[in-house]
Amino acid sequence: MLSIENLTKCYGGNVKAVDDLSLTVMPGDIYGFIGHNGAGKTTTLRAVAGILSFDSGDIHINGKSIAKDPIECKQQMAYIPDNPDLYEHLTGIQYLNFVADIYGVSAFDRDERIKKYADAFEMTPRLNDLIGSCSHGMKQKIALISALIHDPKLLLLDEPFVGLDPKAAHTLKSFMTELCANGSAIFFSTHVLEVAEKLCNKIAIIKSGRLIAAGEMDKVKGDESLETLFLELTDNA
Amino acid sequence: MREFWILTKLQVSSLFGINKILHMKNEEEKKIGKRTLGSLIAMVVAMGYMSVFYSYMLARAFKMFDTLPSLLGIMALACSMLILVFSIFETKGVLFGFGDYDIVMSWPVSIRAVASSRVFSMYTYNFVYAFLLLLPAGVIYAIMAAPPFWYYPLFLLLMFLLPALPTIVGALLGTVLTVMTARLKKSSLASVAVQMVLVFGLMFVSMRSGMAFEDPEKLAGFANAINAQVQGMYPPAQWFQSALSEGSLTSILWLLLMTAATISLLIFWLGKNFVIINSRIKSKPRGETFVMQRQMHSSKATALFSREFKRYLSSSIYVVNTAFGYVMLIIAAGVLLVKAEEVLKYLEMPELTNLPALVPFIFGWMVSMGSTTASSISMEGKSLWIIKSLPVSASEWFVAKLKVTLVLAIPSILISATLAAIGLRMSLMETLWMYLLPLAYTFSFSVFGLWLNIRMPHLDWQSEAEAVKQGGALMISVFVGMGMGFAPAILIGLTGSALIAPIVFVLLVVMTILMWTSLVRSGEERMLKLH
Repeated sequence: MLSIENLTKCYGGNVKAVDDLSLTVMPGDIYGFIGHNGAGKTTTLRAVAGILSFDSGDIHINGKSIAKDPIECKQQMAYIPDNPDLYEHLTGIQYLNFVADIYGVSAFDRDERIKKYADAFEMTPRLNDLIGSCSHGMKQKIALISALIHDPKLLLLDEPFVGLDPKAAHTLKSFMTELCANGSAIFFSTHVLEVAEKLCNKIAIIKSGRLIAAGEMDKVKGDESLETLFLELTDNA
Repeated sequence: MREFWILTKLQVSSLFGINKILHMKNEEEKKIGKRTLGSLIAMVVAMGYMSVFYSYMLARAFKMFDTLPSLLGIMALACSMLILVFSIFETKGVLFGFGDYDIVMSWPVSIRAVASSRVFSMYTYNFVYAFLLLLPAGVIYAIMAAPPFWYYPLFLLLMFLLPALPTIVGALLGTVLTVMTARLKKSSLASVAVQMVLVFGLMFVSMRSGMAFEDPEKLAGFANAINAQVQGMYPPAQWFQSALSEGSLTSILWLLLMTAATISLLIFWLGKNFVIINSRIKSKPRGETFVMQRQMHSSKATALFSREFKRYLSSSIYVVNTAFGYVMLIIAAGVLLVKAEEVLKYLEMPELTNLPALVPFIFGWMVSMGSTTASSISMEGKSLWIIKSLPVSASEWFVAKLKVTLVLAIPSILISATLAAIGLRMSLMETLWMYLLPLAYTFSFSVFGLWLNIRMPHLDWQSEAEAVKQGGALMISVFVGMGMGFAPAILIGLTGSALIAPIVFVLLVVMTILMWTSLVRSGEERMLKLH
């Protein structure tokens, strides 16, 4: 589903934000991506989403290169950044319809999915409000609904649980599991290690732009907790 | 006072994005920064050059009539009116409803310090225009009039003082406007309507004064006419003139007192109402409870255009800044329809006799001012990630932005060209150019705006005014539009050649094709580099 091959991204000439990173996400994977602040998680996710250029390496989505076929790649995925600045001048429903129009979601699927996800996130009554009047958590929910509305094959999420209330976080986790059970894949960054440990079947740890551990959760962490492993690796690596 | 200076430093550092440019580390960003800085400097030089030219021409004329001091009054009046209008536009965004309101207000600083620092940043921005208009006038006056020594320090003092009053009056009017429209459902459109009325009201008053000045029976002589015009429209400009030309202590005191009084009034009033007004702006009304019904769906192109048009209409400063050109166009065409004879009579200069040949170029200049594209990429701001992450090509994105300008421009051009053609009783060929040239200008300047803005984006703004009014791309577009409109008009006036219209038309078409090709070729790469 997602193949990152020797990805390198430099800022300011020589500073490598991501250094020779390779990683594969298979259909059905819920792949967690953890690391300190500034380790390179967001840069990697933005490069995969096709919104940030990179210096070397390649990224393939279902066999298509994001550098060469960005539109085809984007058609199959959805991306939510850590701070979703949405169009404040639109109402929630206008924004969702805009995204659905861009992805060419049929009228039937659109109605059904908006109802399903907006009801689950308890957003339906507020979809006529301007996004500018919504709280951070509500904006996050609208962004999540917009990401799910076209049934993406690959979902990229940067810190998706920040700002969500406990019920919405629980709802999101169940949708993530459901999406992957249907053959899609999720690659997401988080600082909540307990969530990553329970939710993900695979995990990658990044430090100073380099991948220091990656693979199936059980194999990577062994008998230790993810938190212990993370602290050991990031302090010693 | 310490709080005020700390906050002011923060505000002023973001003006024109200079602090960001100075601290860029990424090579690509540095390149964009240098380009933006270079274009800003070039624009300042160009504006300065034009100001010197106008001041010199006016000074020569005034000297002939032995009324050289009127140069100071007229330039002070022009400068103050410009600043007044800019300040009204800037109030919402700089003083109210600014992006970092929550964080600034959480600091242990007084409300008066916050409010006054923001008014001061408006003053600093306006001072650039005051400097460019007043300094050449002051220097040319000094060369021609050889005033006593006290003139020089007094001129410097008054040059700094003069922009304060229209900034504060503009901020007060802008505040009234913001309060009036804050709770309206269509607050942006209401704000646009009131701002348009204010701007055209000012223009009407100035034209009325101009007409009074034309009537020799009403006013005894040329000097009195000019002075009465300045005095009637804006007494502080007259005080500025008499302070510098006569050393009038009363005028200096009036200027100082009026400025100090209005500053005190504004700061006192804002201290009591700043939080109330900002809270009112921030608390947007809730929509009606949404009930899920069958949703309409549209094509990708329609969705992109609709998003773009809604974005345009949501920002009053964006609309006023661009729609002004089209409103002016239709008013000018209306005047030509109703009073073409009088206009022809009024413009008795020999080079202006061929009005039907000149009007398409003047209309071309007006539509070039109305192009929405030069700040349309900057207006994406922090939401840019959305369009970059969606399956939308750069060309589709550009086309949606172009359509906004064309939707506004084409009907305006068709209406105004028809009115002008009837009013001026144009021949078939003249009528053809009346339609074709403004249309060529609008296509050309819409593409030019995009071509510039993708090279000089200003995305991390805190208020829309920064994106709309302080962008290098917009300034270049406005200046090039002015040059491309007036240069052929002057050439026609001088030569009367019938070849100028087809040459300019072909030039505009070729420019449009070349710039569009360049945009399509490098669009994806440039779009990816934007952040």
